[in-house]
Amino acid sequence: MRTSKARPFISALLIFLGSLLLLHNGCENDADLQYEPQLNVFGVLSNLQQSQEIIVDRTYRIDEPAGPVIDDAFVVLSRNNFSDTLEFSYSNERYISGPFTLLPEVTHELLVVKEGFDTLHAATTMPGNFIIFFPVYGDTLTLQDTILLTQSIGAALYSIAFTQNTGGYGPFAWHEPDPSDTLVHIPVGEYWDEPVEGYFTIYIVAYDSNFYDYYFAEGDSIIQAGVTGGVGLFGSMWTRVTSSYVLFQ
Amino acid sequence: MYLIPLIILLNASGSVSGFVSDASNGERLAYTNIYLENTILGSATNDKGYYIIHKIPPGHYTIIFSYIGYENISRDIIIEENRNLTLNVELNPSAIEIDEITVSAERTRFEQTVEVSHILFTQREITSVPRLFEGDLIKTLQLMPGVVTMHDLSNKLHIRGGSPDENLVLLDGITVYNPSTHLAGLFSTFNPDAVGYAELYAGGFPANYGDRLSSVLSVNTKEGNSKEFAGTVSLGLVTTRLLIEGPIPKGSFLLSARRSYFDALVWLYDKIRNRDISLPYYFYDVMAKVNFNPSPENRFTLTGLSGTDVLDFQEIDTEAPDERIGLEWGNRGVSLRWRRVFTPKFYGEIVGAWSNFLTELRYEDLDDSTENLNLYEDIIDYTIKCDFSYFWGENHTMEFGIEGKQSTIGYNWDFEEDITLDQEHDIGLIASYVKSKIFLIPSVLSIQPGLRSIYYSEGKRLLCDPRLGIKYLFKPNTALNFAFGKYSQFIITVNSQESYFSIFDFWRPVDEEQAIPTAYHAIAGIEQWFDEKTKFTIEPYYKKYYNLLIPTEDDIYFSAPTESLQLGDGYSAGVDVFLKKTLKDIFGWISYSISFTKRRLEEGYYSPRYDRRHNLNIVLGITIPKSIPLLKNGTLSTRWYFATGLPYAQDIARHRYYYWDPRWGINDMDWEIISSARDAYRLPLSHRLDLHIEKNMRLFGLDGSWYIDVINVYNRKNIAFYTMDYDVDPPEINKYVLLPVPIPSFGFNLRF
Repeated sequence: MRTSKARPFISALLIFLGSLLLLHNGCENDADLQYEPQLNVFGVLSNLQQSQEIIVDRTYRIDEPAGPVIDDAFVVLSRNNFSDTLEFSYSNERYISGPFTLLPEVTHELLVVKEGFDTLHAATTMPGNFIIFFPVYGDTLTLQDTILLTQSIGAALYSIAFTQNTGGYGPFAWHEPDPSDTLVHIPVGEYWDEPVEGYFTIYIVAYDSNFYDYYFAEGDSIIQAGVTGGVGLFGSMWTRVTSSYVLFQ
Repeated sequence: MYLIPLIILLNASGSVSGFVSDASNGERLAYTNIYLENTILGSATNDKGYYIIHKIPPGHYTIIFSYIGYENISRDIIIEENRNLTLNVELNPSAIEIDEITVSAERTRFEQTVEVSHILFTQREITSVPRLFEGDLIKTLQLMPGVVTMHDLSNKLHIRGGSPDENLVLLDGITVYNPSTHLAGLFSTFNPDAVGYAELYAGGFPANYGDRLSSVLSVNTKEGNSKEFAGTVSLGLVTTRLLIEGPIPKGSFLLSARRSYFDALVWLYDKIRNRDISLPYYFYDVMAKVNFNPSPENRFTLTGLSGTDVLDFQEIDTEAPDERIGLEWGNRGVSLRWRRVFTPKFYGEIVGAWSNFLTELRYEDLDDSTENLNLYEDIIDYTIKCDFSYFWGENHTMEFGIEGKQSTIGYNWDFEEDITLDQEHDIGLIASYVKSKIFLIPSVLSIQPGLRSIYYSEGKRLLCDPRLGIKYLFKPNTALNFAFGKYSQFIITVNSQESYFSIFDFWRPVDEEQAIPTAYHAIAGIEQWFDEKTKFTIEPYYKKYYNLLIPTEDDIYFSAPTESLQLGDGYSAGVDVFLKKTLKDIFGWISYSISFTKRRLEEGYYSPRYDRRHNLNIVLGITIPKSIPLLKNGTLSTRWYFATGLPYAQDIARHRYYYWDPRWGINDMDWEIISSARDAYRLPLSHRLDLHIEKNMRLFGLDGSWYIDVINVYNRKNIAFYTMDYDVDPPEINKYVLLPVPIPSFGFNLRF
C-alpha cells in the first residue's frame, strides 16, 4: 500500500536526479576566462618635441604574470603622405621617431604590428594653433585678470602651467572650454588663490578629445582613446608659450 | 465594473453560521468541512474559522463538522424560516498525526478558493526541516518553488525574479520592512515558537494586498491557548526562547521572547577568569498578543512586537577606552484588530497598526580627538485597514475594504555640531479594494475578479490595479488556475538588492518626479491532487516590470540619495513545480524552479545577481523505526538542494594605465582592470545536504524534545562569490565559501 503511494514521489525524484546529472556535467567546472590579450599603446604627440614617443605595451589575462613593455613591435607614425617607422629605445622603454613635424588640425595615424596580437590602429587630430591675447610678454598677471586666447580648433581641454624662470614649478590648472565661444576665457581667480609672485613662463596647452576621453570622461575611464584593435591612448596636444610677471595676492 | 450576480432571494429558507475552533487551545480552525447530513448543503470555514451555510429549507437537521486530525462533531439543529442560527463549535484533536491536518486544510482550500501561487506553512513545517541553529520561517520559505537565495547563509527572499524589497511582509497586519535582520541576516524577525501559520503568495496575489511588485508573506501568530496555561522553553546554540500562553477572562494571551546569549556567556567567562574579552553583540525580540472576546460576535486582538540587534563596541585593552561604536537596528510594531460578525452574512475586521524600523549608528570619541558621529534613520507607518466580507450566497462572496497609511521616513546625520543632515519624507497612501469570489459553475468554474484603487500623495496620483483569478476544475482532483494582475509599489530601497550581504535596507518613497514602479503578473498553472495526501502543482509565470528604480550595485551606504537610482525595466519568466506528499510516517516535498530574470538599464539588458536558472529542493522526513535504539519514534528529516550558479562579473584582464602631466610627461603608472559584463560568468553549481534529528523526551517531569542538526553534511564547498588579490603577481582569485565545514548544532525544548 505504502509502496504504491510513494511511487510518484520516487519517479519524480529519479527524473530530477537524472536531469541534475546532465546539468552537473554542463555546469560544474569553474568558468574559463575568455579573454585574448591585446596591444596597449600610450602616446601624446606634442608640437614642442621634434621626436615623438610611443609606448607599446599589452594587456594581460588576469591569471598571467606581468611582463615588460613590448620591444619588438613594428610601429609606424604617419600623416598625409609622410610616415616614419619608430625605433625602440631601451633606455626610455619606448619607441621614438626621427624628426617628425606635426601639423595642426591634421590627422596623424599610428600603426602597431606585433605577432600574436591583433594589429592596432590609432588616430588623433592635432588641435589647431591658437593665439594668446593676454598675458603676453611683459604683462603682469593678477588674480583679478582673465587669460584670453583664441579657441584651438578641435581642442577638448586646456592646461595652464606656470614655470619659474629658475626652473621651479608654479601653479597649474586644467580648463574645460565652452566650445561655443570663439575666445577662451580663463579667469585666474577661479583657479588659484595662493599668493605667488615672480616671473613665470606660462605653458598653455590644447588637447584633443582622445586625451580628454582617456583622463576626464565621466563614468568609467575610457580605455580605447583613439585606438582600435587594442587599448590605450593616442592623443595630441598643441602648446603655446608666453611669460608674465605673476602677482597673485 | 465588478461582476455581481443576480441574487435570487428565497424567502422560505434559513441559514447557520459560526466559528470553529480547536477545543484544546481555542485556536480557530480554517477550512473545516461542514455539511448537513443527508443533504447536498455544506460549506467550509474561511481562513478566520468562520462559516455560513445559506438557503437551508426550514426543518430539523444534523450538522456535521469534519476536520482530519480532529474528532467529528455532529449537532442536531432546527432551521427556521428567514432566521440565522449561530452555532460555534470546538473540535477535539484525535490521535492522528498533525501533518495530516495540514493536508486536509490544504485540500479543502483547494476546493474552496481561487488562489494561485499560494503556499501555506504551519509551525510544524517551519520547525521540522533542517536548520542552522534554529528553525526559521524565512529559511523554510527558501525551500519553496520560485524562491531563490544568493548563498548558503542568505536570509533574503528573491521570489520569481523579484528583489527582496518587492515582497510585502506582514506580521498580524504590521508591515515588517526588514524581516531578516538578526545576526547579520542569519535569523528572521519571526520567533518560530510564536508563528501559527504563514501564507506566501509568490505572485498573482489578490486585490486585498498591494504596495509591492512581487509577493506577499503574511505571518499570523498563534492565538494563545484559551483553555489552559502552557509554555515552552527552548535552548539552542545561539538563542534561548520562552513562550507562555494561557487564558484570561473572555480571551487568551501569548508572550514569546528570544535572546541570543553568547555575549552573556562570554561576560560570565570574563568575570570568572578575569580575561579582557567581550562579545559586543546581542539581539532580542519580544512578541505579545492578547485576545479578548467580549461576545461571540466581537473579538479584539492586540499584538505587539519589538526586536533589536545591538552592537556596542569599545576598546577594553586599556583602562580608558578612547572610542565607542554603537549600532542598533530593529523592528517594532503594535496592532489592534477588531473582528466582528455584523450579521451572519457580513463579517469584518478593522485593524490599526503602528510599525517602525530603526537604525542608529553612533561613534563616540572619548578622547575628543575627532568628531563624534551619529547617523539615524527610521521608517514609521501608521495604518488603518478595514476588511469586510459579505456572503451573498453559497456561490458568491464579496470582500472589500479600505486602507489608509501614513509613512514617515526620516534620516539624520549629525557630525558633532558641524554638519547635520536632517530630512524627513511624509507620504500618504489610501487604497480601497473589492474582490469577489464567484462560483460560475459550482465545483467546476470559479472566478475572482478584483480591483485595487490607490491614491498616492506624492504627485497626487490615482492608480487602479485590476486583478483576476480563475479556477477551472476539469476533474474533481485537477484544476487549471489562471491569474493576472497589475501591481504598484510606492516605497523602494536605495541600497542595492544584489548585495551578497546586507543587514537591512534603506527605504525611500517614490517622489513626485519619479514614475511609479509597476509589474504585471500572468500565471497559468495546474494543481493536481493525486490522493488526499499528495499535491502536485506546475505553474508557468511571466512578470513584466516597468519604471523600476534600481540602485547602483555599490550603493550600500547608510543613506544614498534617490537621485542615484536608475530608471529601468525588466521581466522574469519561469516554471515552478511542487510535489508534496504526507503519510503517517513519512512526509516531504520536491520543489523545482527554472527561471529567467532580466533587468534593463540604459546600457541594455542584464541578469541580476539573483538570476538563478535551476533551483531544486528535496525535503524528506521520516519517523525513525522502533528497531533503532535511542532514536525510536523520533523524526529524521533531510533537505538536499541543488542550484545552478548565479551570474557575476569577473575581472578578466589588466593593463598598465599611464598618468601624464604636461610639465614632466608620464609621472606614474597603475594597473587598470578590465572586467567582463556584469552577468558574463556564472558561479559553479551549489548543492548541500542537511540533517535534522528530533526526539521527544521527559526532563524534570516535563515533556520536551532534543534535536541535532548538521548543515552541509558531506562538506560541499559552495562558492558564494570571488574576490581578487592584486597584491601578488599574477593576481589571485579567492573563492569565498560560507560553509567551509559541516556545521552541527543542537538544542532542546521543554513544554509545560
